[in-house]
Amino acid sequence: MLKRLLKTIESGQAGNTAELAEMIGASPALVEAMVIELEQRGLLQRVGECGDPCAGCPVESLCGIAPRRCAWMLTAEGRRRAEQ
Amino acid sequence: MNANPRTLKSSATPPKPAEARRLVIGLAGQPNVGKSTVFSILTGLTAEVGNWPGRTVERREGSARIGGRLFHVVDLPGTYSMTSNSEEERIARDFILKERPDVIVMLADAAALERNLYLLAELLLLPIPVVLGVNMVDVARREGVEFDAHVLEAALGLPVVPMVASRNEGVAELLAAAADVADGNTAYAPDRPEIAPAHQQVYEQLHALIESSVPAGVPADWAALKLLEGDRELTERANDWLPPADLARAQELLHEHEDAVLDVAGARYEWIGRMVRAAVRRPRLGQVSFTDRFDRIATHPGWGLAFLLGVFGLVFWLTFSVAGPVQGWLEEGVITPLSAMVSAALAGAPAWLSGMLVDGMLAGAGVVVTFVPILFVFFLALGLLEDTGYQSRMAYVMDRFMHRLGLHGKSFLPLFLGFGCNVPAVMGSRVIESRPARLLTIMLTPFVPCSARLVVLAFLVPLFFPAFPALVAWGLVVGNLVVLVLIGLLLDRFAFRRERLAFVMEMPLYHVPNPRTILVFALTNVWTFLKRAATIIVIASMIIWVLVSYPGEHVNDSYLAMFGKMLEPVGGLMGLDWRLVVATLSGFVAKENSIAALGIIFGAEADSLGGTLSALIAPASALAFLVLNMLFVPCVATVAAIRQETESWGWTAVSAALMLSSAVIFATLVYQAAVLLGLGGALA
Repeated sequence: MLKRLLKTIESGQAGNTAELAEMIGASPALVEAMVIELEQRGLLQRVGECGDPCAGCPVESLCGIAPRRCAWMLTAEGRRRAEQ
Repeated sequence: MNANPRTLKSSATPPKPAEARRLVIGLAGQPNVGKSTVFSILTGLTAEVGNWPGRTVERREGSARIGGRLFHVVDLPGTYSMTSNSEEERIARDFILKERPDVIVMLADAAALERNLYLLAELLLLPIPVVLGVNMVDVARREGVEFDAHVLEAALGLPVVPMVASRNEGVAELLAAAADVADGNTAYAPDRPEIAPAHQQVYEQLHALIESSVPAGVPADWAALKLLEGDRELTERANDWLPPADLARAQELLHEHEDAVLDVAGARYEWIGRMVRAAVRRPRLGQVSFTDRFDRIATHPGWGLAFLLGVFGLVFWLTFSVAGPVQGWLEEGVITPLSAMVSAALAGAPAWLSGMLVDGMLAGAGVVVTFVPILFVFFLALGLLEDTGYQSRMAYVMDRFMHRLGLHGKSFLPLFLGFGCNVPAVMGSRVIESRPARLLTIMLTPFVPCSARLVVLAFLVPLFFPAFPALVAWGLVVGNLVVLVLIGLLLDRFAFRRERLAFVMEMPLYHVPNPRTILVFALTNVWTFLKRAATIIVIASMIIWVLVSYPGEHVNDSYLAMFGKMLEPVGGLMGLDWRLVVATLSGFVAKENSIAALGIIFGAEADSLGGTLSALIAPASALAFLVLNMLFVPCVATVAAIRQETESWGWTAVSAALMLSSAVIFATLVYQAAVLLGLGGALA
C-alpha cells in the first residue's frame, strides 16, 4: 500500500491527501499516516508549516495569522523507490 | 467490556484469598498518548526514575497493588514503531525481548488510530501478549471521530479498552484486561499483518538461513522480517551471529529484494486500514463536509482557477471601492495643506531645505503614506483569505492548471511558498535534491506575484487609472499569472525538460474567520509598512529629490534626467519617457519607492499625483509601466536569497536577466497592442 501511494504521488495524478485517498482506496486519515511514514523514511521531504503552530497558545488571537501550509516534496530516493 | 469505563480505586476491591503472581507490565505507546498519566495513576508514590542501562533515556518504573494483585509497571519510551530508528525504539524492543514482561499495555490516541496502530502491528510480532487502551475517546468524540471498541476488539483479536486517562476512566478495566490476558483467562488470538505474497518466498528463505543462528531470546520469524524491512541494528549485528556463508547469502537475498522494505511496512498499513474500517467512523459533518463540497469547486483545475481569478478581482474591487476615496482625501486634504504649511513656515529657510522637505519628503514619502487606507483594506482581504484557509489552496489550483499544460509539479514550490513572499520560496528550494530542478524553481519564483508586489499594484493602478482601478489591477494579476505559465513552459521546453517534481499537499479545513485575528494581521502589516516608509522611503525620497533638483534649474536638466535619458531608447519601445524609467529603477531597493519617485518627479505639476499622472501619461504607456513594475527584477532580498541558494553570481545574473528581459518584452507587447487599440498617444 505504501508503494502504491508512493507511485501515485510520483505520477502527479493527485496532489493532496484527499485525492490520494480516493485514488488508492484508503481513508484520508490512513493516507496522512502513510505520508508521515514516507517522510520518516526519507522518501518525502516536508515543506511549509504543518499542523497548527499556534494550537493551544493562550495569546493565539493576539499575534496574527499563522500560515497553515503543509506539503511534502518527493525526494530523489522516493522517486527511485517509486520507479522500482 | 464496559462501554462506560469506571474509575480506578485501589482499595475498593477486597483482596483475593490466595495472592496471584506479580505481573510485569510494559507500558508502550507513541509520544503524547497519555502514557505518563496512566503510569502516574497506577504507580503513584512508588514510581522510581533512573536511566536505562548504558543510555541517557529516562527509565520509570513502579508498583501497584490493586485488588490484592501486585503489578510492576515499566514505562517504555514513547515510540512510533519498533524499528531501530532511534535510541527510544531500540530500548523499547530490547526490554521486550530481553526482560520479557508478562503483558504489554499499549496506549493509542482515539483520534489518530490509523497512525497509532502501526506500533501495535509491530508489537504483535513480538512474543508477548498485548492489550490495547484507546485513550482520549472524549477528545476524539469532540473532533467527530466515532470509535466502536467492540468492533475493533473483534477485528484485532485482543482486548481493547476505551479510556479517558485524564479523568481516571478506564484505567481499572485496562489493568483487569491485562491481568486476564497474562493469566490466560481471556482468549488471545490476534490478527497479525501478513507478508505480501511477492515476498513470502524470500521471507521463508531468510527464515531458514537464520533460524539456527539467531541469538537466544530473539524470535527467528521476527528477525527475518526485520532483516527484510532493512532494520539497521539487526542488519549490522547479523555480522556477529550469522556464519559468513549464510550472511553473504542473506545479503544477496536482501539486495535482490530491496523493494520488500516498503512492502513490509505497506502490508502493515493495509492491515491498519482493515482493522479500523468498521471500527472508526469519521462522519463528514460540519467543517469536513463543507470543506469537501467547497473544494470540489475551489480546487478543480478549471472551476478552481476561475474561482481564484474571481477572488483576486473581488479583493481589488473591495480595496479600491472602500479605501480609494479615503486615499484621495488624505492626499488632497492632508498632504497638500501640510505641504503649504511647511512651505510657509520655511519661507525664510534656505531653498534646498524647503525643497527637500516639501518637494522631497512630503511629495515622495508623504504620498506613499496616504496609501495606508488602501494597504489596510488590502491586508484585511488577504487576512480573510488566509484565515478561512483558502489562501493555501491558491498554489494548488494554479499548479493543477499548470499540470494540465505539462508542467508536472514544477511550479508547485514557487507558488506554494512564494505567494506571500518570494524569499521563503527561494530558500525552500533547498529541499529539492536535483540541482537543475532546484534552479528551475528558483528561476520561476520571482514570477509569482508576492503580496508586496500586489500592494504596489494597489498603489500604482489608481494613480494611472482612477476610473476603473480594480479591473486594471485584476488584469495585471491575470497577465502576471499568464507570464508565469509561459516562462514555466519555456524553461521546461528548453532548459529543464527532464526534471520532474512531485508533491503532496495537506488541505486545511475551512473555518469561520476570526475578525480580531484578521485585524491584527492587517495592523501588523500596515505598521511594518509605516516603519519602512519612515526609514527607507524617506531616505530614498530625499536622494531622488537631490538627483532631480541638481545641477540644473529644471527637472529635465537634473542628474536623474541625464541618467534616465540614456535609457530612453529602451523605454521608448514601451512608450516610457525617462521619468517613468527612473521611477521603475528606484523600486529595486523597495517597490514603494516607485511611487515616491513619481510623486517627486511629477508632484510639482498639479495638486494630486493621480490627477497629474492620468492627465500626462497615455493609457498605453501607463499599462506598459505597470507591466514593467509587475515583472521587473525582484526586490534586493529575493536577489540575495537567489545568490545564497544558487551559490553562483552567474545564476543570479541569469535570473535577473530573465526577469528584466521578460518585463521589457511583455511591457513592449502590451504597449504596442494598446497603441493598436487606440490607447496610445504621445507623452505630454
